[in-house]
Amino acid sequence: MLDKKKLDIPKIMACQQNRYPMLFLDSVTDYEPNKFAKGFKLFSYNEWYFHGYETNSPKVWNVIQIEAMSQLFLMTFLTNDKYSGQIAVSNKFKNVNFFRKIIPGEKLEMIAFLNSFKNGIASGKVEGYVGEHLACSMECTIVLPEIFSKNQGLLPKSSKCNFKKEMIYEKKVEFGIDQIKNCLLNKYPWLFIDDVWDIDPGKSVHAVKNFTYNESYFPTHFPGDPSVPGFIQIECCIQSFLLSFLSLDEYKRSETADRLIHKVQIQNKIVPGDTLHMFSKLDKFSRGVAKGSVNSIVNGKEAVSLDVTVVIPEELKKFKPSKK
Amino acid sequence: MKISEISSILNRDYPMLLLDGVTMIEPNKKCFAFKNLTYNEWFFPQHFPKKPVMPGTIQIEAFSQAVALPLLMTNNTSQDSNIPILLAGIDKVRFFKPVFPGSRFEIHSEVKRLDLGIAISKVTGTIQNEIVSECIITYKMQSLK
Repeated sequence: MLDKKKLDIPKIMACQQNRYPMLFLDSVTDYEPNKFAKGFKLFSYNEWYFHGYETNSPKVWNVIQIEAMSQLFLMTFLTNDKYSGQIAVSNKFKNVNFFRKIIPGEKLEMIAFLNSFKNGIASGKVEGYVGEHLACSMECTIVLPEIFSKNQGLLPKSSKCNFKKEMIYEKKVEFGIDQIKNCLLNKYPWLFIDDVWDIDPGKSVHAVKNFTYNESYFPTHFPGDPSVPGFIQIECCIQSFLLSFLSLDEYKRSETADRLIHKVQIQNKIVPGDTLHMFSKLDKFSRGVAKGSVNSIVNGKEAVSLDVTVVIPEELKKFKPSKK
Repeated sequence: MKISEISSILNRDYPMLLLDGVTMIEPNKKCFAFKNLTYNEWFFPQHFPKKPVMPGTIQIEAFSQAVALPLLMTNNTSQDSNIPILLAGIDKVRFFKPVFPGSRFEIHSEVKRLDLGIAISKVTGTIQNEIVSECIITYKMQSLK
């Protein structure tokens, strides 16, 4: 019988450029270059991101699950010697579903399939399991800029943007960090909004995040070429979306859970010193389920955009039929 | 047992809380606890840069927490800042195998003797039912003085 191919941490680090504190993959248990990879991530309370939320039941952030899944996905093609060690950036995520809460002490086993890989663009599917239960799944597209730039000029642009680019922003309301903390349970190091420039509770929010080199992810992502990791950009957008309904008086500081993230497009590199303007719109909010979309702009160019569904579990519980 | 309960009983928090869950506990008798080891913890990147290994001293700290847990459970109602127990000694420490990230570190602690305000307990650390380290930990219970 053939031994399964295993990769431990030093070998994983030889293949991909992610490093502590942004390496969310502990072991690859089996793989075949250009086809699939299997691996797992253990979650321990002794990790930094559990400590950015005021709660009695800490959970693994959904964007951390996205990042863990995409890091395993990287192993499907970075195990190929030709590409080993290259920088990879996330580009698109589709149908990102979360089915259950993952708590510290659990193990997320993942399996990734590579569907297509050409011109430096890889796309495929990843699923994550806790025990026997499906915990999360997604479809993703990841770009290897080194190869991609040889073939084409720029990243593909979408026509989804529905706001004027020449718009000049002005600060319309005084809604600083104190008020943000009044609405969200997030705290350092997991609070990714600095200021709010315009807010219409229950409808829309214009939030701002300044990126500075003195943030934990820049030195290692990547040395000599710092940029904001894709999942941090997604989390920024989700937090600004949360503000759109958590600013309503009756929901202030409620615990939330993301259920579905869809049509995520990451279109521009964000570097330290940039300011990200995020425009979130709440389309539907009833019975503790909020649906909406977020667009964002950096330096006058589209950055990240996504559709998201978030629930307030406490509120949702009231509408569930009781078991008698 | 939820992580927030462990945190409040031990009166410790990140980055010095080195247990993730408890599978079995009997106050003042024994405790089966575990810790997930993932590379995304503060001690792995520097220890050692090319070959991550869990430091032995960190293992001992995790052991001492697994011993303190059953001892502190009985008087967890008192929320005063006084530490009711103090570490008095660690003996016969042995490390049999290196511990790598990506494994589940299980800790079995059993209180062998508990009188005159001294608690002596035997602790073993296992990975996949293989013993990787062990030691004997003595605590002084200040409340019984």
